[in-house]
Amino acid sequence: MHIFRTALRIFFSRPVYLLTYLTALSAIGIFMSMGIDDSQNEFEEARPTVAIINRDQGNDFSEAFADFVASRAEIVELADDRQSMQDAVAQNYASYIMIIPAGYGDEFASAAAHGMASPVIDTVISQTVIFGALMDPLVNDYLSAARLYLQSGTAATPHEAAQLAKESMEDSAVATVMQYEDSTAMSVSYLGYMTFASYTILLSVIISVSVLLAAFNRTDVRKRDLAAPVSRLKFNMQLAAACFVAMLFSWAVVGGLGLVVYRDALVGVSATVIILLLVSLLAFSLVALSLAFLLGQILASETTMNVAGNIIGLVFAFMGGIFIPTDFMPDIMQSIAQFVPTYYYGNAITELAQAQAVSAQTITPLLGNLGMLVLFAMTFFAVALALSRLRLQSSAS
Amino acid sequence: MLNTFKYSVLSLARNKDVLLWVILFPLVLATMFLTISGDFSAMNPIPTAVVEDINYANASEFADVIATLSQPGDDQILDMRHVETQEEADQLLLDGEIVGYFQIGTDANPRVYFSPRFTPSDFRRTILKDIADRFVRAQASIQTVAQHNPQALADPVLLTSLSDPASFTQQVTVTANESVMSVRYYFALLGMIAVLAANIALIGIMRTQANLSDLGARRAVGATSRLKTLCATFAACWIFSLVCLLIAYSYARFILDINFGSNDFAGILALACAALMATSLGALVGSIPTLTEGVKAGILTVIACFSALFAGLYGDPSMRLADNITRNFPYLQQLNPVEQVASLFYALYFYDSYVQFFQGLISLLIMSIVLFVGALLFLRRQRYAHI
Repeated sequence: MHIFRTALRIFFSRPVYLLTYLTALSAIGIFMSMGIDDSQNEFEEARPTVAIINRDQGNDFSEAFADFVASRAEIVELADDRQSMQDAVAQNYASYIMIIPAGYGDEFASAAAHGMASPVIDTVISQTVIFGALMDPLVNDYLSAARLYLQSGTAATPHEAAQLAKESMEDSAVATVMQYEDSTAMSVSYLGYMTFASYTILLSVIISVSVLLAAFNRTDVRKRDLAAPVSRLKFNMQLAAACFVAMLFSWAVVGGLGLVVYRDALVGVSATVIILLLVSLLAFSLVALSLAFLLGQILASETTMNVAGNIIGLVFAFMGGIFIPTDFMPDIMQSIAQFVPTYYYGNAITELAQAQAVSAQTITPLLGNLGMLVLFAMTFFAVALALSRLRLQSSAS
Repeated sequence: MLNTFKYSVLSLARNKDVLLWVILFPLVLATMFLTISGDFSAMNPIPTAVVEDINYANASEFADVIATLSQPGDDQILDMRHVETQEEADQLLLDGEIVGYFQIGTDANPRVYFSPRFTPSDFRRTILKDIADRFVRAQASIQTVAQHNPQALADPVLLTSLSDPASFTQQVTVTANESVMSVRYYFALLGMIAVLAANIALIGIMRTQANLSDLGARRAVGATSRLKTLCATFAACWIFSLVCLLIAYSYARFILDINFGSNDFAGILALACAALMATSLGALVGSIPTLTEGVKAGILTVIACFSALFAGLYGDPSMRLADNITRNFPYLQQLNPVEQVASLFYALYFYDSYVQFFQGLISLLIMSIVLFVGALLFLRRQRYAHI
């Protein structure tokens, strides 16, 4: 066990660095989940930030219309010039800019009264946010109702049509977010943190393991080790055991930090579900560990492992649906996602997110996903051992 | 000095590990962005169900709406599954196979039920709700007309306009190029690559410092003046970073056919400036005494990850966070190297004039100078009690 003890001594010789690194990466997950609303029990509309440019100031109808839009979205101020609008699009200041042209109110009323085509409102929709266009249905519904009231004579004036249209817009369909169990729903922000934790854990396990392997990969140390009367398998197994402890350290920090930060949001949530979430993260940590071990066989320095970890972390996170839901990807990429371990980790989290209490029905698919993660870990580890053997043979020859 | 430059370049070129990854990183990521989706704004039809019970059989208008929205084609919005009971629909929700389902209530109005599935950025719920709302509002408006002025509903012109789903808006473009989702990823990616390219200067500078590497100690007692060594190394690192960034840019621009605005010359100028910032950043982190190379690489990774988060690289939640910071604390983003590099490409892509681009260049140059001055504070020292 001498190799194991030495490896651990090397690992724990830099606790401040490792803790800082782990905390910094975990903080990214915390920042990411800050924007997530925890009230998943109720339906909430997703609307873009809106800037209204009203060039028909003073007209009752246009003013009432602008007021209605303002009441249904987060409004930002924007000057009426091309430069400001370009700023708003380039800097994502407003995702939906609505330009009410001069004379719009009068033209709209006249077109409705005479059964002619209504004038149009110019909109600038930023496609750089995923729901930029989601103001259009509200705008169209409001104007459609106002036109109907004017055209049918139900409203005598544009002002009255605006009032009636506003009342119509208060009608809406009943929306219910289903709840299947009586226990408290899982905190969505905590789930966001745990989902992002796959990226955090991949990077932090790789850095933790690289600290260890870089020390053992130094040419002089390696030559000395090769001359030692210890079989390569035994050597690697002890090194792997030390890496396992390093992985447990990363997992404990990332998992523990999540429990501390989200302790209030987790009050009343099933403890079994939380434990299973942490078990899922542990299963993913095994994948990260075996991958780090594999990288350690290919790459020599900490610097290189850092950069490699970043690339693999990002590729896994994007392709496995951690950053962009796989539902938004083309079919072919949805199929390819199944060859990425993060896909199964994301699935495991999703299974647990909707299981507010644990039953056989929720455990079976969860075990399937965790099993896939363990398989990935075993595959990477087997390849790492094979590579290690190849390196040994090439050193000997 | 020329000799030092030449050998610095050769020595960096032999460090294949870092170069390979710094070059490979953008190629892999850019290709992945393109394959995940050529245009992120294109959306797959929303998996939805409708309960076909007795109430639904009586709501033919809503059935028509559903049929239209589920019509296969480019405009298909719903991927509809028809079930007979609410229990079946609930099971589909529980299995995560649908985002939500519609059921007609006893009042003949549609109700919409959503999955409790974890969907932090799922705007698709809003689309389903809007479909049901639009139907409810249209029915309510017709009832209001029927109450106030029933004979109007006999007017053929009015009836025609009722069945015509007119659009009252038209989308216009106010920017030089159309705003598309994918550009955010590519611009933020270029910014992140620039920060990761700082690893090159980190290694380069460490090899000049007597207290940081054996090679540095040997060079410190050499005949070449310190200033010349540093200038030549800095120039070599800058050239290397620029080459890495140019490879990434050319690959995305010419092979993946990504639009970075129409002026490649300005694009190269932006990359040169980004490489300068990267070299200064790498020099600063690399010159910190006592820390090992691995720790310094770790610091650069954390800087790259944090900056990329606030530049919106990590998907929709990260973009919303970045937008909030830009809206509320615009000066904070001035300190974000990834965002600063990305903003140069935003300027080239979105604006008619080059004013914003040159403002961005100046801002990045100032950042480079500040980082470089910081590095000089560590680099100027030449005598050490212990090496």
